[in-house]
Amino acid sequence: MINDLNPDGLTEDFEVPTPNVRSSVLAKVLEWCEHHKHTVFPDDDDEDAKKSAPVDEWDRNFLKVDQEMLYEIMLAANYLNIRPLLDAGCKTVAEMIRNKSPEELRRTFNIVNDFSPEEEAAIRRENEWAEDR
Amino acid sequence: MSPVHSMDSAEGPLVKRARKSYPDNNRSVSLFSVSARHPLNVKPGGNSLLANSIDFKPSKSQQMGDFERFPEELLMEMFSYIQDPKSLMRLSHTSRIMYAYLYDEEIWRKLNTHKVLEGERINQQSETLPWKGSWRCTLLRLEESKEAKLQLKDNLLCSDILYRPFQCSKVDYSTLFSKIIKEESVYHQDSLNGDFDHTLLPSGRIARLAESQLTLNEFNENWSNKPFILTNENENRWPVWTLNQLLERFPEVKFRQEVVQWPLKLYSEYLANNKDESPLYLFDCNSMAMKSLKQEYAPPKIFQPDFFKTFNHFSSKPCRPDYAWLIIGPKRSGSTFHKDPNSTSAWNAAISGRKLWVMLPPGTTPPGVGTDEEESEVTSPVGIAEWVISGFFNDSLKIESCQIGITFPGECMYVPAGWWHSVINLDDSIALTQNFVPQSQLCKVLNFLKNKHGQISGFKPKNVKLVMDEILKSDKDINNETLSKLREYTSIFESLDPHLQEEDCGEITSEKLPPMPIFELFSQLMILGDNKQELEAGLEKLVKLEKNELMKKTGKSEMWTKLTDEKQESVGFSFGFGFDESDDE
Repeated sequence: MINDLNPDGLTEDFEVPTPNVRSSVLAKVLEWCEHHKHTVFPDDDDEDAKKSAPVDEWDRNFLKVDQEMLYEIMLAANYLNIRPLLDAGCKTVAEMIRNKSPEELRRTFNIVNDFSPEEEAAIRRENEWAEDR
Repeated sequence: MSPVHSMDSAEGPLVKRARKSYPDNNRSVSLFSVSARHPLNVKPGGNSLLANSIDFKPSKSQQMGDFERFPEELLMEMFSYIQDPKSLMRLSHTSRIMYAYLYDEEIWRKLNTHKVLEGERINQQSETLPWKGSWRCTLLRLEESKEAKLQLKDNLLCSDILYRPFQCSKVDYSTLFSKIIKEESVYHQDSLNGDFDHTLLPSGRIARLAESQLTLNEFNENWSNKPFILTNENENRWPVWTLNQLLERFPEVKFRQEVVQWPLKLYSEYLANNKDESPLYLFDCNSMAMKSLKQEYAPPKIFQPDFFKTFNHFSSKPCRPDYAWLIIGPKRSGSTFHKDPNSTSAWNAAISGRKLWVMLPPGTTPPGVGTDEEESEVTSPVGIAEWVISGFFNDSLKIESCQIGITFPGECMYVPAGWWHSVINLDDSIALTQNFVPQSQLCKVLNFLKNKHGQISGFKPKNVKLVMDEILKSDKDINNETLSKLREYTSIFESLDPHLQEEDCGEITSEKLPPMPIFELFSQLMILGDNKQELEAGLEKLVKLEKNELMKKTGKSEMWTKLTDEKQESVGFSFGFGFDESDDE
């Protein structure tokens, strides 16, 4: 991970800027790194297989945090280029999305519904067509 | 448009009229000609700089909720983890902006790819859905007319990640390349009239040569190191298949189109109506249909001598990589920059539709393409349209060795070994292509097979092993080194995972597959096939080529290295004029 942040291959000590990463989030990220320091992650080659693999059990529990924390961990993982952690985060969010109605999704993700009545009708029609099959 | 002809009156009527060179027109494309309204009114990212977009900030953040905090690339990445169409649809039904993000065709196309690949992993064919004009409609089994198509107001959503692929899918190459098309039409017409002289072409243009005029010898001597277009006045030189005819003959036959394998009928529906930035391209060599179509054409005579045929020396045990392909693609489809496998050369005959070719010699990396030092792999491919409208096409025009041309139906492009090429279909296209190894390019193939193990592709470990078994049955005409290499491989082969035995060696990572002695196998098959002389000539050239490459790499000639090495080793300095003897193995 440190090497990812050091593309120029500096040998002396260097600064890792982590703006907008709260200390509690950074602590979580480090906890994850510590736990996985010996884990060998599969190559990035087969991206599709990687996406289909279930979330690691330990990661699943590790990411049982409030949504705010989850998002911030993902953003930090994205910034620090920790692919396996980001991968676990994306899967967790995907699970939160699966099999929810639009109304439930709005509640979960704080999305405000501002459809006009015509738009509501258009959505309903799309939905009926797709759901019937 | 007619070319610039001129009559030289002084020479009288019997002398063929003298001609001026073709004009050297500017061939660049205008980068400002491509813009269209996004179906949901997504705007290009630059529009966010306009004042009124600020007014939309509150409503944008409401409509995106928690998702607003994520950078767009990450957001799209997250959505690609949602692997069932209905969940994806319901999320799109939460707000106008979410609808727009999830309207992106790439997300839905990936979802389909995922279904296909997952089916392959568990060895179960995934269901093939009827095509509905877009991946979104297809996966939701939704009629296009029933789509909600929620419209965004003004500059509510300014996003390149959404707008750019749409823009690329709308690119109109006939307009964009109109200058080149005009020029090439003239060359094409003149060559049909037998009135074309390639020496009159400005630089950067690809020569046209008549099939009836170019001899095998001339091809090998003068023409095998540069691209040229082989023309034929006979309209029936090539089969004149149209998509409709093929459709009538093979409606239900499944062809391979990249990740999917669809019946031709389904593919033809896709071809007629899709919104992809890079449309699926049909590349097929093994279908039932191709087997019968292969009987309906003959490769140009000068391209028929082909040393890779030697891999099928034992006709009951062929191990040659696939080499003959039927290619079908809608306009805008094509292939991004690549080199043909195993340092083979290729010919490509346009059956219907025009193709634009951009070609660069080995060692000249195309603009906008990332590759390693060996030019073995393309590391950062962008789609063709993106490549053109980002200005990389114009950059190519500035490279002196870059060759650009168009093949019209009935014309056949020759692609020399190692040349980079990208092909853009200007129309819905059908083409035939074959990889082959002409005599003059043999040493390049030998070099590749000997010195670039890791890049060899297309061979299947099992077929290779069967051929080796056949060779090892008798040890006639075989040297000890080859013998031991082949034996070693056949014994290692047994330990190979059975799934991998029939896989393309280019798809297997090197830890799992011990290097196959293809070079030794090829050499031995050449000897068995009575091509010993050609092989030896090729190996002789290879020695020179290796010396040159070494010199390029180290900046020192082999002789220099040898001399300086000797100097270090022995105190008594001497000129060891024996530098020709180390070459014969």
